[in-house]
Amino acid sequence: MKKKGLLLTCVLLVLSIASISAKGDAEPASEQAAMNAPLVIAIEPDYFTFDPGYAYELYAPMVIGVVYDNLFEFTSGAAAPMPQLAESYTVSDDGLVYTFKLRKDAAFVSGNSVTATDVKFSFDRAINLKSNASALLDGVVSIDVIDDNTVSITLGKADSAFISKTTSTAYAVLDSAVVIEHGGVSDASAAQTDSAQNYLDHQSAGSGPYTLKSFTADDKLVMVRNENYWGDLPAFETIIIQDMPDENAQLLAVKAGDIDIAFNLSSDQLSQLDSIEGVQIISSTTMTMGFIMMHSDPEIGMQVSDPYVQKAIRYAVNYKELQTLIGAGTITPESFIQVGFIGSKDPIDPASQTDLTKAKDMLSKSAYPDGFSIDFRVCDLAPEGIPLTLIAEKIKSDLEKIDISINIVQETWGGGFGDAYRNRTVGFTAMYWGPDYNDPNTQLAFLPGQYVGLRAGWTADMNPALAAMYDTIVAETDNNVRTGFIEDVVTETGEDSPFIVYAQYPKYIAASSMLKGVEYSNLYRLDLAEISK
Amino acid sequence: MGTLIFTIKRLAYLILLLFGVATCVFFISKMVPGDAVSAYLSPRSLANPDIVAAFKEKWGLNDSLWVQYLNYMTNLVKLDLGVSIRTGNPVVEELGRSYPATMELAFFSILFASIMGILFGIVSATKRNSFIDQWLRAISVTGVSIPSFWFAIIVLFIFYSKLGWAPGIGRLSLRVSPPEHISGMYVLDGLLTGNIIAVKDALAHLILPAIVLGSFTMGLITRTTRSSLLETLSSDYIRTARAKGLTDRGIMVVHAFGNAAIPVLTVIGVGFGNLLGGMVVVEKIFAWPGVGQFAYQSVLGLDFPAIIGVSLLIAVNYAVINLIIDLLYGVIDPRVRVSR
Repeated sequence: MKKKGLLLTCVLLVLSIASISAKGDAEPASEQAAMNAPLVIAIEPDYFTFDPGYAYELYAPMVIGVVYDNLFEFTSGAAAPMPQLAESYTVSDDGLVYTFKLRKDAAFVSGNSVTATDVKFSFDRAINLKSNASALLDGVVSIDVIDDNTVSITLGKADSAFISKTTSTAYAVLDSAVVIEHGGVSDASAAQTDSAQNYLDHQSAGSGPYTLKSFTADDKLVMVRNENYWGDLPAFETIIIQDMPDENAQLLAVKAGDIDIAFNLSSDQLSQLDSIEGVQIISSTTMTMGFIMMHSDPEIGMQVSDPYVQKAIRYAVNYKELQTLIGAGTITPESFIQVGFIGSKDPIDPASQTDLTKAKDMLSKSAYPDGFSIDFRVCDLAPEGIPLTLIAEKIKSDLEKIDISINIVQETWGGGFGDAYRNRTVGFTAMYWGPDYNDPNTQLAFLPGQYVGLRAGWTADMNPALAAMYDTIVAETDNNVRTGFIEDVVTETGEDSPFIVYAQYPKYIAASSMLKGVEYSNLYRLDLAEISK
Repeated sequence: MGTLIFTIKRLAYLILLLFGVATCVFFISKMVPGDAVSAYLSPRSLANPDIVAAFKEKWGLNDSLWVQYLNYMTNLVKLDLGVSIRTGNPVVEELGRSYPATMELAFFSILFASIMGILFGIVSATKRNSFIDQWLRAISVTGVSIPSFWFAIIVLFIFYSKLGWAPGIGRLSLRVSPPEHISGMYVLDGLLTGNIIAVKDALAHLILPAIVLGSFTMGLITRTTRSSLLETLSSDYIRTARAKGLTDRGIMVVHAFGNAAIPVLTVIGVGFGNLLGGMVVVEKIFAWPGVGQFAYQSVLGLDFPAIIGVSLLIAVNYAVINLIIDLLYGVIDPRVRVSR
């Protein structure tokens, strides 16, 4: 009898918890009916600030892009920047002075009009904060207010990508009055005296279609529609971006219909959604590219510094199998100018690029005709969810076929690999890269003598003509001519550089099939203002 | 009086402990090969000496190690743990935000583990070597050995995705607003403010992570309760009590369990400390905005002020829990009080 009583107590305890659970779900559901359902997006976040003067992380533009306006923007599917706050602009003959006419109907959430003073304040602040965002305004020498609606920007050197750069979050235009009120400083002392970041991380001071309502790190972010937006109002009144670091939890939540968009799914997981009604899968090619780096300095790169060894490795890598490993939608660009940028070429045929006979032939011409063993350092990063260690294992098996034995040395990015990589002391590795802004000029960092090229020991004197292309392309403001120059770079570096670009990664998004306009954006990741039901 | 002196002594030791932890973690943080400059600045920024210099200036990285240490310890005395490089907010503020979430989850986990563990342990001991004993021992071994990341995914799949009996991740459903902030623990705050919808929703969200987190400790408590009770039940005084005609229930409640409880209390205390400091994986899977998530992101980002802050918090947790357990020993067993 006593045992039964004990058992009954246990059962009652479990049932009462279960009833709490059921009620917890049921009662608020009726409240929900009265609410306009928000757009709920689950991501594994990397952001921690939404202050355009500091933000640099991959997903921050998803928020900043709809909270602030820029002089120019990249609308979905557009190949070139489109005017946003700028109505028109002129460039001086020497390409150094850009004069922008601002639209007169744009206003901040506070009600203040967007003026040239706000543009000057925002850009000066971004420069003087001396943060990651400042690096994108490197070439800006001065910003001058001509009148309320006209601002001119003077560059130190002509920059053919300048208009593209103005679409990035670093160039977001802030409500100067509100930011100053909350500690914002734009003069030379900003790096030490500006204290507006905390305010801008939790509220916003922009003129975009949404305003930041709240942000709790490691939890969620809520944006509400700016009902006084000067442009077309977006469809959703509220957007919630829920931190969901685990991709399996994202999968279960999108299947259950608790979230509208799951942003960090792998290709394996997508197959589990094939049979689920009400879920659409959007697969896009990103500008994230993976590459093998072979240091050209024999003291650091050792055997892989030999140009013939570099060519042998280029032919030995099985690009087709790497594409399968990374997932459907992966492409292989010819060089470090990704497919999609002006001047790029079509993706290469991965099967024809692999040629073991040629690889062995190249190795036989090198100083190591019988093969060799070498360390392959790889860190713990995982571009688009695919660990670099997995790529390293595949490369190892490919190179074994031409008697190159690689010893994979696993390291952590934060535990020293990052420093070694940036200090140019990593000899042989696999890494990835995403553009800093939406223009092929950002990829010129891979040229000899530039900061990524130098990580591979590729100094300007090793190929002076190619190194000189950097200044030529950056200064060339005629886009047709620039495109030709970039094509030349692709041709020249496709088979002859210390970098082997093995893939341009895909991105998979699972979204409710009720949604329209869900599209991966290279600049914003998702253009939230374009999504509707 | 003895207990008061004992408590004061232990609190004094706590200050020494915190000093030691802060010193060790500070120097270990500085010895690891990673560099905050490389971790936070983009490749383009690292190529700009002005930006690198400004970053170092802002975070005091130009000072010598000893000056950095002295500055840190001086601020620590003023209860200032510095500013998180990652979030730009004071570390105290970040811990104040994330700790209540962790504390709430740890509390319900240990509650689940204690209730089920003690219950299973008692049944297992009283039904020694029976079929039910075998089953409960199997459950306790499973609880101890099951990997939490796998268990978390499995319970989410079954009870959230397939059966729909439990809500998914997070502390509250997206449509339910948090209760007015008092302690940061939603169940408590909901009860204090009369927000029953929030209380129910928060409790529903606690069930799965609490079970996942508590299963390890539950297994330990079951095993400890069983073995401790078996030892006690075989004592002479229990045989005497039986000879005097006391019922099994009376023997268990009045004589056996109290004496068997000290090791169980120790396991509960240690388990609670472990829960507070070691729920990184479960917090990640359930998107629980607690200290585990904050610590994980801070370590990834080499956010040293935050790492030191979390370490100090965990040290305080252990010290305070141990103190409470030691004081409870005295309540349960008067001999402990005498020996102090």
